[in-house]
Amino acid sequence: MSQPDWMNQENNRASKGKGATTTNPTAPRLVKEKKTVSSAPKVERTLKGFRVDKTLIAKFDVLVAEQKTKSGKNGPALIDEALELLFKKYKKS
Amino acid sequence: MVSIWNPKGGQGKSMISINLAAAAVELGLKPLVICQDPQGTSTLFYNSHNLPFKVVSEIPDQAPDADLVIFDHQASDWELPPCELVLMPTKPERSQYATFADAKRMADEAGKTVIPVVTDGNMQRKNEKETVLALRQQGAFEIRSSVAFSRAADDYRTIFDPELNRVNNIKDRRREVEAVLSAVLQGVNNKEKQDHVAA
Repeated sequence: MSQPDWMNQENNRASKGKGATTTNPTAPRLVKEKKTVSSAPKVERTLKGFRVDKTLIAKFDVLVAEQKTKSGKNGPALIDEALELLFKKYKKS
Repeated sequence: MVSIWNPKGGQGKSMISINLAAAAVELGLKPLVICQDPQGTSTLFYNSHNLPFKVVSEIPDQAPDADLVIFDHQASDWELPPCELVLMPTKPERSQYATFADAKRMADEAGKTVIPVVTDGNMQRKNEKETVLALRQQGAFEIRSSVAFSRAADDYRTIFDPELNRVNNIKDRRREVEAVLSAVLQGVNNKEKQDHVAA
């Protein structure tokens, strides 16, 4: 049984495209949300309570939300980073 | 890992994903379906509690405990899938095939291993039969149009569910899905061998 003529026509048409070119390249395309997964090694954690300035916590919450999407770092990872900076400032290894 | 991908909707991506996983269970494998489609068709099947395998909606951040990971991609997704092995279903009609041809060309250019599958072909229709046979000659697998799939979908089951054992021609449809699975497993094995040699 022979191949329908239109299959050759479609194959020829498709073969003229290059890369991500489609039949209608100007049409809006689906943009997928990029999810980043933190590659930070797992660390054993414990709870520690602080009384913190309310305004700082509000800023911190916004920072966590931004970094979750940008770098994949979550709240605990950012607290680790803040503590490391503190140790560096006060020269504690 | 295998991606089930075709930017055209309605070609059978979710149907293949869940039935391929069910066929893998029959072989004693542990498959995992990752539903990447906001319509959540595979997830709907999973939520019915009739599937003998897991469907998750997000990519796990740690390697999952599974022998075969199946990505069920969404329609309108023109971004090439991450897996080296890409299973591409298409219906045997010209406008459906046109999108398949464009997407397959992209996958071929990127060096992906493509497994073409012609779905929902009705061999009573001369033009569809011609197309199905031509695609098969070119190496495509076939999963024919059948009441088995709509009967299975009525209760969110796969065609491998024992409840469907008495459906007409069910054994033929199961054999077709099993043939696709064997090609997928062969592709996965080849990729593992290549990675092993490269290492």
